[in-house]
Amino acid sequence: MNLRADRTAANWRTAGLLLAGAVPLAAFAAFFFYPVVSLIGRGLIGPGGIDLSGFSEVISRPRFSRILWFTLWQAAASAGLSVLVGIPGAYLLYRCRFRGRAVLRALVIVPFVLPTVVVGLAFRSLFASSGPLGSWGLDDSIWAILLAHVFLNYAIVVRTVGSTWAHLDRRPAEAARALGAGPARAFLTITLPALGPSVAAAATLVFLFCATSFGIMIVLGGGQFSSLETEIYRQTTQMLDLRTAAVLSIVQIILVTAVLAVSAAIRRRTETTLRLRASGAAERPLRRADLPAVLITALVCLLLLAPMATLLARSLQTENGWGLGNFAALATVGQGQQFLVSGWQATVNSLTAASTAAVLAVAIAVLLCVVLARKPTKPLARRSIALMDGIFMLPLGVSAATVGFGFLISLDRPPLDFRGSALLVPIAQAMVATPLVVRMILPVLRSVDDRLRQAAGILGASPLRVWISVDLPIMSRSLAGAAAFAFAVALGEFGATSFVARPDNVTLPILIGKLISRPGAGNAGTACAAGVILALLCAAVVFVVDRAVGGKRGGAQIGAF
Amino acid sequence: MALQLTGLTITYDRTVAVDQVSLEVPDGQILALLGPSGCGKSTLLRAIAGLEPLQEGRVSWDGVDLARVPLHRRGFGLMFQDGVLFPHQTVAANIGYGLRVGKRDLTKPEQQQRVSELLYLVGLAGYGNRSVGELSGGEAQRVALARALAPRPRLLLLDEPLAALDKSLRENLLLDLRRILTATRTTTVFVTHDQNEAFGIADRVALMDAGRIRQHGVPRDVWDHPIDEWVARFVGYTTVLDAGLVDRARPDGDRIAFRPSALRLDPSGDIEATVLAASASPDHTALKVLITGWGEMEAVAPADSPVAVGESITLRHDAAGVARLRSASWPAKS
Repeated sequence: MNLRADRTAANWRTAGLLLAGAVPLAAFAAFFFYPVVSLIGRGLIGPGGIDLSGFSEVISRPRFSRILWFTLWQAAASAGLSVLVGIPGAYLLYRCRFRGRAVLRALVIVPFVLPTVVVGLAFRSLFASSGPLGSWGLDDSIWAILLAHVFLNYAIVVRTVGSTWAHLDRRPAEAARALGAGPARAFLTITLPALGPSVAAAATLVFLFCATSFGIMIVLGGGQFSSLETEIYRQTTQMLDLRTAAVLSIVQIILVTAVLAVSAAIRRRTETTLRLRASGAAERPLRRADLPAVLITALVCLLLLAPMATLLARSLQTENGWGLGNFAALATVGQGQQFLVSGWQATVNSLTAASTAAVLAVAIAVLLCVVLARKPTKPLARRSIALMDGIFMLPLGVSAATVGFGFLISLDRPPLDFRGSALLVPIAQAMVATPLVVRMILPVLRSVDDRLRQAAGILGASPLRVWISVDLPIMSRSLAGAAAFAFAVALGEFGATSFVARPDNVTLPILIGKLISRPGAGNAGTACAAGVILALLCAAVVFVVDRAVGGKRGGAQIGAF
Repeated sequence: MALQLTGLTITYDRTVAVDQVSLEVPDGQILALLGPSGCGKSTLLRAIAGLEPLQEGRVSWDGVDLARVPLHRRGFGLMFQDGVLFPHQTVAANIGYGLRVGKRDLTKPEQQQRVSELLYLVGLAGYGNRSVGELSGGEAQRVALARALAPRPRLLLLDEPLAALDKSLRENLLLDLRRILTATRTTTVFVTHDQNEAFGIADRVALMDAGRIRQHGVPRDVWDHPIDEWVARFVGYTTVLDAGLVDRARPDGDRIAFRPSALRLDPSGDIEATVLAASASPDHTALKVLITGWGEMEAVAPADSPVAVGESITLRHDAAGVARLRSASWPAKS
């Protein structure tokens, strides 16, 4: 054995790992922490140095407590409703066998990847006084917001709980039945506790997404509901009160960190070694007793379909009857030359930016996962990895408006001068998508039986070779799903993009936002047409990839976190 | 000496898993590491492979210390209890893996040739293109063995390779394993908790308990001359008595261990006993008897003996099932 060669190899390996960790760290430092810290700093640094007096002043305002309370309770209510209707869905789609199940499983994911602006627009058309459900009087009510949140997050509950449920041993519940428990009692005392961690994981994630929801709040809040996220946006862009925005941003970061800590604790308890056992044995055909679950799920499917159907119908309605007029209007630059680019050009912009963002997000996430998936024995290394894991989840919780506005004020001078760069939009989108990609790939990598790597190593594979021949093939399926998801997230990104997109490279969501903020039935119709196109693009990519790779062994499902 | 372990100590969070173990395995020999679960035998095996950091001691091969040699350069083979085949590769790709990533001294056709040889050797000729998901438990273990043997490892480490299989399969595969290891003259360390496996396959046996090697020798020797009561009980002796009880002429403080076969039903025997229980099996009847002065003992009778519970019988003493222990170390050191 060549001792010197071995020592060199070990050094290379350490260097490689450090490099793999350094690239994402540098990217995050430059394009996330630097802009965010600059913006917050600008709000907190007065003429005489750091000025924290704003904190107590902002926090003691009655408006602040109202906004904080609203943010929390609407997120809790949305999460609760999603879990309530999601559990029957998880049961039907992962525990029962029926025709069309595979298609239904893939379809359920579509709402989750739709851009929030489009979903907001669809619900607005549904509940508007002129819409199909106008008589319900839900327009501008909290119910519109809650239902839109359930619409977006239903898939998280169904898939997260469902993928656990599919592997759950049926026999304990059967033993409980044999001991005299009724079906409901067996479910409540045996099955539900076993599902507990996955239900909690799904609920905290839905809570997080709803607490920081932006597009829905802006479109459906109607100016009367303000959450932390929309208030940061309002203070930054309309009041130009950076101090208040900075305080609110810090409050939101604390809130999100707390929620992430809870969800990380839950995840640690549930992440187990990849189960290769087929789940088919636990499934059975539909029975009469499944009727309540079928009814609830059918109702939810209506909730999922109705807004999109309304949006489609609305896009086909023109001033002179049914037709494709609204889509034809996308070829123009708007009534009275409002915009620099046509709808089609915005579509091309969106696709270009989203592809770049997806490539960036996946590249950063893969490098990051190489480091995060390691299970070192040294306590210091273990703690560093846990810390890094937490840090890279922060973009989930930092207001997109903070990121976007931070980009504007900090990336405009050397060494990071991105003024006028077309790269700014995809970079901002990649920052938003990366944590979600990491969350999809990392569990798959962590669940790889460590002995597979050891077996490869002892057969003579170097650490790099082990990664290429064991980790990469196992990860590849979830990688395809993650890339598609990153693409859809980037395609629909609204909050940060609205700051950094220039008039000549606006994306579809920005165009929609502009169209609906202007009066005129023509504009509303064109917005709906753009929404339909955006929704179709997102849905098509994710549906196809999910059908191709989802559900197969090692293929992480989009939405199952 | 091919493999040499000197004063090996491994601790986890202040628990000593392996305690000052020194062992040697000569070229081409099979050593069985035998012990109850949790005794540290698997940890010791993983340490030899290079998967566990050592607190003290050294692992060396032909006199060269392996401390700075990472596992993928040791040229060893390792086989796990449940195979751990690469799920995304075919049977042939699994077996050929070590040929592709290791020394890489074979051309593609030579690699294919080697894979076919190994498939034939483990009795799975023609299975190359199957997916590993289609294999039964026994087939998966054969593939795992072929995969470990393919790069001609200088040392093969087997971690309970048969424990996950059912009994008849286990016995078949044990015979095959012995044949294959002898045919390929592979130096092997074989970890098991089953003494039949250990004695069935090994040239030498090391008994391990609580991180220490209790006894080390050729199977016959360990079988016939256990050094203490713990070893005696582990290798199948069921009762241990003070020597003075059995042989009044020699009240020397020694103890004597009995296998059930040490006492046989014999109408002309000189030991009187009362039958407490009898259970039939195809080749003999196992008895539990009470012998005045000795206490409860186990004994055997021919398969069709009409023995009734409560009956008084006479037994004959068979020296083959008795061992004299040198030290009275029961209970084992704590």
